Amino acid sequence: MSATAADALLAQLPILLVVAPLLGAALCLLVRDARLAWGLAVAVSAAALVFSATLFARTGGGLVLEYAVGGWQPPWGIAYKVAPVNALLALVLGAVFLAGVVYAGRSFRRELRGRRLQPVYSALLICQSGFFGVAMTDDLFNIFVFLEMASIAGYALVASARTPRALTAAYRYLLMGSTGAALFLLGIGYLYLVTGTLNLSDMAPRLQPALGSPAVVAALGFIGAGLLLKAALFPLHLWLPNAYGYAPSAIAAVLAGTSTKVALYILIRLLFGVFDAASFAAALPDVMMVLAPAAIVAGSGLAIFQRQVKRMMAYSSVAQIGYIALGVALVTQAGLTAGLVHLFNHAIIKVSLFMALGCVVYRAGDCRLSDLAGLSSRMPWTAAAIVAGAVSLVGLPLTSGFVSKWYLVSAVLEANLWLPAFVILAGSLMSAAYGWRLVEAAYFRGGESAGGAGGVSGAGGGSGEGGQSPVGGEGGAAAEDNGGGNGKSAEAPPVMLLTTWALIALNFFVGVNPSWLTSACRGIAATLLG
Amino acid sequence: MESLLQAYHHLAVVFLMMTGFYIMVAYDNLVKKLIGLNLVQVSVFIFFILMGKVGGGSAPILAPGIEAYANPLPHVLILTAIVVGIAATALGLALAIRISRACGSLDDRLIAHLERDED
Amino acid sequence: MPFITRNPILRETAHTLAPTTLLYALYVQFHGDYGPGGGFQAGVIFSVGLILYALTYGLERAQAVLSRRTAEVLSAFGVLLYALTGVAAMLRGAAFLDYSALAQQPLSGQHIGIMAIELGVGVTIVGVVMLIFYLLTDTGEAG
Repeated sequence: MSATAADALLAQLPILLVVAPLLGAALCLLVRDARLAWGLAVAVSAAALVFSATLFARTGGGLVLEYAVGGWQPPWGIAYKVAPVNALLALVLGAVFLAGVVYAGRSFRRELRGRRLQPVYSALLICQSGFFGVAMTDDLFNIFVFLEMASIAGYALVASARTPRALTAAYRYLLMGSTGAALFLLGIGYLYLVTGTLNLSDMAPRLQPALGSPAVVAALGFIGAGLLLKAALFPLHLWLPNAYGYAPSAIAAVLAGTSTKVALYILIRLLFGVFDAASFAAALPDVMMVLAPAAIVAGSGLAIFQRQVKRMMAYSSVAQIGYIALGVALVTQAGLTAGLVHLFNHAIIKVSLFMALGCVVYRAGDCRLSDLAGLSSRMPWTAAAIVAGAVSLVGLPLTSGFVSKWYLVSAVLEANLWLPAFVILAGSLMSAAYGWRLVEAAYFRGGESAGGAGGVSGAGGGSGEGGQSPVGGEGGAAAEDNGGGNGKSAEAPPVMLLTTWALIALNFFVGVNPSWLTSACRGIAATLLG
Repeated sequence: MESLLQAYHHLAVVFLMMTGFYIMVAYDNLVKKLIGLNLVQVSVFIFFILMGKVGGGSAPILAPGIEAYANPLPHVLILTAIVVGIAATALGLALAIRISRACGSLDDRLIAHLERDED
Repeated sequence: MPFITRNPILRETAHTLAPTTLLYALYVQFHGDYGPGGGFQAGVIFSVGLILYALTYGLERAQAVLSRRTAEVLSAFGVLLYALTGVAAMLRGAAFLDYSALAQQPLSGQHIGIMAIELGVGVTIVGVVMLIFYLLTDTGEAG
């Protein structure tokens, strides 16, 4: 009885991953207390993480879950299909969203002071529901709808900071993202025109005889352009730095770990599952092979010169997307494995970094490099978290960054491509350069006047905060101990630190014990390459 | 050339889309850029709707004596896509209102200039 | 009140059209399962009626009919109705949104299902469109 009940529940997990956040989003709008809305969001996200981890564990054994929405059988109805690749993305999404939502509770209360937070949590859950939908569905048009659902929620979330910079960043993000979506939709149209189906599993064999026809070439071009725009592969990254740089910290963290990753996932699925990446569609990997090294160099290079640290991390994301794209563009099993491993690892690393920066914003009100001065004495845990993230970005041993770089370099060398291998190493050096700027600011600048510098910036921030809106006793108290310049009490709230460090722990766990991830990714790559 | 003439309705799609892109690139006003985006979206919608046309086909409602029906699926898809487009447009307009209130302008180049000064 | 029109023709026309539009929306809503129509169209038509009212009598009176908070609650309620209908089918052992499982007879189950779903869609659309309208006409610093 219990076994069958468990099986019945397992069979429903793909749809539950989409419906649970959606229900949560609706309920969040109805409740009157913002903390209750936060609790709801946390509960839903925790459930989603449990669901996606279960799916990841079960599909690892070779089980492929299929689900016909509404009882309409594929290829006529919308079918969900969970293979390991879907489960891997769902696991990333589940981890990032749970951490992000837990973290957002305190972060929002500071950064979005005096605002109704229920709609923000609601949008966050809609975004979550949309991304999970992309991960679960096997229907191409359904992917488009879910992607847009998540993206539009994402534009609103970036704008929720309400500063002029955030508004214009969200507007540009919206213009470029919607353009990408329109191109993607046009590509879907061509595919439907040729095959007469939208079901991905059904489409691949039907497309086989038509590969090479002008319509399929057009489909490949439009889908590639649209998705690379959404994935922010250089030079289509222009929306990303400001969107991440000026969004509320929790939102920047969540989007950095999910939005570009999901676009890359769709690209991988279509490139390998529908188009024949090795022969017919080789043009797109060829283009990516040129753009990805450019992204690594340009992203890392621009990151070095940023003074606003969130923007520095955003440019770093541009570079890291280049690494993932480089692995994918190799169209070898080793390359695809490396790309997928880095997709997971970069999500974890960058989210923990944005969260650490959010802790700085929590106290200092902003996170320019100058705000990091004396951080090691004011906020030792936050400073250490930033160092851990920076070290992982460089790819030192024992970090997950090392694992992905290792796989990537060996994949590139296996394909006898020396220039990209050189670019990867150069990119690591450049990330060491901007990482060092953070470490230098946090540990060595303002060191001689740690109390003084901390006191000055702390007092400035403290008085500004206190003057603007003494919301509740807490804001006032926080501003007080900040203004006091007392080194011990200036650390960020424990919840925020705990979630940040939980991700860093996961990061080091992967770094020390990567085999579960790499073997899963290798299996996925083998399946995708057929 | 002949195939081009046969596909004249696709030319309309291309024309609309290029007009949209041109507006998005050439005009500085943020709302005009949004209008350009809408044109791009509409061109894709029209592409889908044209796709559903079956030569000599009737409306897809079962009736005696009719054998060819238009394909309703692309039309249904586009209904959904239109809703998605409306959501994006509404959000864009709401943002535009806030931007003009916050920056005192909707001129993309002016705003970009101000932001560069700030950096 | 910038929105109240002084033009008597406009005012009388809207005065007649607004309630008719609302009624027509209900028709479109509840005939959606047999004829052309459905929740989305009905929701949009219903909001057009409300917006027409707002344009002639002013935002304040429109918000007295349907406040921002009510619009928000409506949009959430519709989504809940939609999702819970799907979940109800799941609880009866079928797939999400499989209406046939909602009653003893599959056919009547499908009737119930599509009615509930379309009602959910319609309610959400009214809520969301009115929220968008209030957001775009909002002249002060609020929300």
